[in-house]
Amino acid sequence: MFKNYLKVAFTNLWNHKVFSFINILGLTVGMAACFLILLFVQDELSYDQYHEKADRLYRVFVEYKNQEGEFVGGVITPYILGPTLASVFEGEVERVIRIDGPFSYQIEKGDKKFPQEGLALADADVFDAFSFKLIAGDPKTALVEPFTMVIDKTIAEKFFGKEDPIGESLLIEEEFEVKITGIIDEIPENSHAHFHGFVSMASGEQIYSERVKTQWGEGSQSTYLVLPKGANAEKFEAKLPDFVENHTFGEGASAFVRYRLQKVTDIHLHSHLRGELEANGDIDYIYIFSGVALVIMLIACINYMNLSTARSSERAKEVGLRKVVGAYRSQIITQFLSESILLTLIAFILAILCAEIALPVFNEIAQKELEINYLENFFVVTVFLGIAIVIGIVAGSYPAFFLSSFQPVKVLKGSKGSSGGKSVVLRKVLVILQFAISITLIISTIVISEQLNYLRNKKLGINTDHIVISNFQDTTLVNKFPVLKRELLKNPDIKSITATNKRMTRNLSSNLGYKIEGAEPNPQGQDNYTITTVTSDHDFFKTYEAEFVMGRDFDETIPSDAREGFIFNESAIKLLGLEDPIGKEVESATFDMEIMDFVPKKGKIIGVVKDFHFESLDYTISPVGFHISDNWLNWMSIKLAGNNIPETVQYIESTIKSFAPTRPFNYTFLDEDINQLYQGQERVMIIFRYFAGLAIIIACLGIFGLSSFTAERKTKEIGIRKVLGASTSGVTILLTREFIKLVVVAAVIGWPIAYYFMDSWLTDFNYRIDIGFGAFILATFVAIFIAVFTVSSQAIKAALTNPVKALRYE
Amino acid sequence: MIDLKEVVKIYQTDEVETFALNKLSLKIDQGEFTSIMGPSGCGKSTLLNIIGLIDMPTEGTYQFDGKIVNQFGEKQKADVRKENIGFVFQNFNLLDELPVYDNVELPLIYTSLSAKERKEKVLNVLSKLDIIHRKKHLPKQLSGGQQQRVAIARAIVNHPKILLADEPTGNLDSENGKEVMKILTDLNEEGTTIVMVTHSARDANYGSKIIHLFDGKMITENILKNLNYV
Repeated sequence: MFKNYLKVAFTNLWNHKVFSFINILGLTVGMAACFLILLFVQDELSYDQYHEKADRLYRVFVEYKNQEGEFVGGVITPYILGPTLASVFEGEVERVIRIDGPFSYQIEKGDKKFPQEGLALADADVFDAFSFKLIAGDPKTALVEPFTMVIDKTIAEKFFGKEDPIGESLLIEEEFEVKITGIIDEIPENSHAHFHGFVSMASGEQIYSERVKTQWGEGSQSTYLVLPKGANAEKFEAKLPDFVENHTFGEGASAFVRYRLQKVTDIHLHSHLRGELEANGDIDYIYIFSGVALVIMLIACINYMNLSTARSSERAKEVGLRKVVGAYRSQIITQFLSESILLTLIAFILAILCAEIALPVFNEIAQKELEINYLENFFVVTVFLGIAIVIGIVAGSYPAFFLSSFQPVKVLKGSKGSSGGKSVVLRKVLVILQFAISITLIISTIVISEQLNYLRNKKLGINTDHIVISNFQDTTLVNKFPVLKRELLKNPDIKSITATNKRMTRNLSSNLGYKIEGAEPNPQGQDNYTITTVTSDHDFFKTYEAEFVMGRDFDETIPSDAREGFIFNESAIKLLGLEDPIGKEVESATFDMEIMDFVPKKGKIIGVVKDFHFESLDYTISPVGFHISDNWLNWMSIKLAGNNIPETVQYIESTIKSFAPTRPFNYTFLDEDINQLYQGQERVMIIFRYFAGLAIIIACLGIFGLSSFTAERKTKEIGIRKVLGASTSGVTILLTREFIKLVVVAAVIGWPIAYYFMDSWLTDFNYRIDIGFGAFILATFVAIFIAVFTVSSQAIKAALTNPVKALRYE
Repeated sequence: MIDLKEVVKIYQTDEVETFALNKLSLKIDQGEFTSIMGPSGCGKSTLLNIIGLIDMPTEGTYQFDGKIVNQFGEKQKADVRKENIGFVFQNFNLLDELPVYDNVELPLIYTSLSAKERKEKVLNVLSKLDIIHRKKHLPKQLSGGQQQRVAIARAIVNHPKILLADEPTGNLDSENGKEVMKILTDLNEEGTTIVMVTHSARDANYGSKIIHLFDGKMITENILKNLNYV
């Protein structure tokens, strides 16, 4: 029996090539898209799952209450947090691991010298908590001693080639000699951070200043915990407020500082704290993509249903006959289902092939290294095969139930069976659904790209064109900076130079206490404020062309500016509640790199600068205080005139080399940095656009098929109309109009859905566009255009048919 | 074998009720060759469909082989059909997509016969009806007479007790029509009960009994003679 089903199914597929082609193509493209999305989603969900102790591996993060009374979370925790937790909660935590990094350091061995990124200091137990694979060395002891280091394969090969690096040494930053005690495999792609080498935290113990080692407001470590088996993380977290009171900042501190836990496996998709080690993914995008995959499949299924029921009249005779010779309805249902399953299985195989072909492109866009490994991904492939069969059943069930309900008496007598009033209505409903989805996707695509364009083009409030950013790397060059600056400015293509402690576009992390004359008491009723601090030389605002709203910029001709000049941004002035800020006394502090400690700094407000974005647009502008420092400087910003850029960069390199011959010259253009901030979103946008396009194409395939059936069904009507004098264009319009009506109804349904989804998507942005009416109108016209374009070829063909032929045929 | 008692069939459209059969009673015994005649719309086909269990009477009882089948469900009716009844249609109703062999095999697909048994039966019936040389051809490659032979082969492949033919010669020329009637007569001689609807008095005369229908009622020979209908 089954063989017969298959035979009939194959014959049917073969004899109705257009129908089969549209269905298989639609399902293939849909499934291939789904398959890629599934791979992507699976990869995103797999982050950090490979750690053996993943189910009890946590990161401790900190939350500070800001001036607005909101808790703001950050990844960076004090150096002493780890050991304190370990001793206070002895027995309640299995391991505490601090990781400081990733940093970019210069490493050298003999005449080989490279800047190396992804380096970190880590506690000795790091390999116990994280399942990083050690190829050589003992994971238990490799990082116990000071100045020991574990490097990854790539570094090992770079410096030692085929030789065994164990026991050899490397020189870091021309200062610290470390002994290689282990080699790790490269850290898997699906990790929340990618380190290339670990230096023992015991080295940090000797390098860090006393201040860093003892103060709760210091440190730059990420702290991880392994809880014992069966421990309850929530209960543990509940003990942390007491811990804060009793062991850290003292009584009352838990109202302002909270330590909290997050699962390491949750970091990639759920964590968006300040100072994340790498740009994370976003669970929202997982939902969005899964939804898009589902929608694409839905559209392909609807195509199948519509086309199958549309040509039901062709198969009515078969159904009737089979019933007459004694087939049960269930047997006929089984037959139609096996047909649709056969179709989806063919599509499944083609989809896997398509996915293989499209994978490199997809990887390029998604910045992933996904591959289909049929053994390793056996689960995914099996699941997908299961999905294919389910799709076959879902898509086939309606036609199966519909067709099997035909009464032989009705269908065997006439030359053609009816195609059913009910099914026509349902077909219309399904087409409306497809177009509603398509229109929703088009609107979403437009809104998302508008938002991203807005973010990219939104003025940061300063001029970031042609600015080269480079870091000092060591204090020697900082001390030579004034001379270096004069030397660089001799080149007419360099317009201006400044130095800062913080890098533009990166997080501002130095929060200092301020007491300001005339300021309102803070929400806690005290007169001190914590304000983010940026230090620079005199030319910061000139270089970035910031606008002043009150007072003046730092001026080199006024010697007191360097000593006691403070400039605040508008947000800071607003926070302080100052009516007339110029000349007000300020008490704060600055950092002295010479003595590696904070020193008090007193002065007066000389200017208020218009708010601008120092950090990325993901954050709102925070209150910032600026003052001048001659050594708390880490980054140079060099503004070029914009002509002869390569030569100018060359000039900068050679000039810096003449001051620090051994220092490698690293630089980026600020514009590129800024673009990079939005690269993640950009990628998501591109992927979204592709898949939305696919969904629309599949929907078009469907109405293309459907319109050809409609045209066929209406052959007689068209014939009569033409005999009565209708023109070709009149008939074409007649056929097209039906679909336009459906699209318009679909638009009305699609609009509110798209609005709802896009509005909730936009709420996550601090700076967002308002959804304009334009996107809705545009999307509707695009959909109508696509529908008309798809349908009209069929309609024109039908309209051109000789009416005599059409009527004789009936 | 077939016993219809006061069978009524009403077709209902929006506002009009049409009596296709009006209190019709009919008995057909095993081995009979019954011809049903009458003008268009007199209820011939309806009667045949009810006998073949692909349509149900509105009122009255229908006994098939001693069992009242009025209340049978879809499945039971399908079982009765596949074990006992073969159908031949005016327009052949062959599946255009399938070759002759598969068309004939179709009723066997829904039985529990093995592939080998099915093959044997199909080849047997094809050679009996002298179309075995065309078993791989598609219906559209055959003449009308050949198509109807294929349809008959399909109807009898499972050795039904009863063969229902709805104007089997209606779409054929006289030569092919004669041939089809010959086949039916032969089958009847072999013991198959045949019920045939026809317009043609000549074909009807092949039957051992002729029933005339008029407006859903059976009319006796005498009345017919008075009506000058024959």
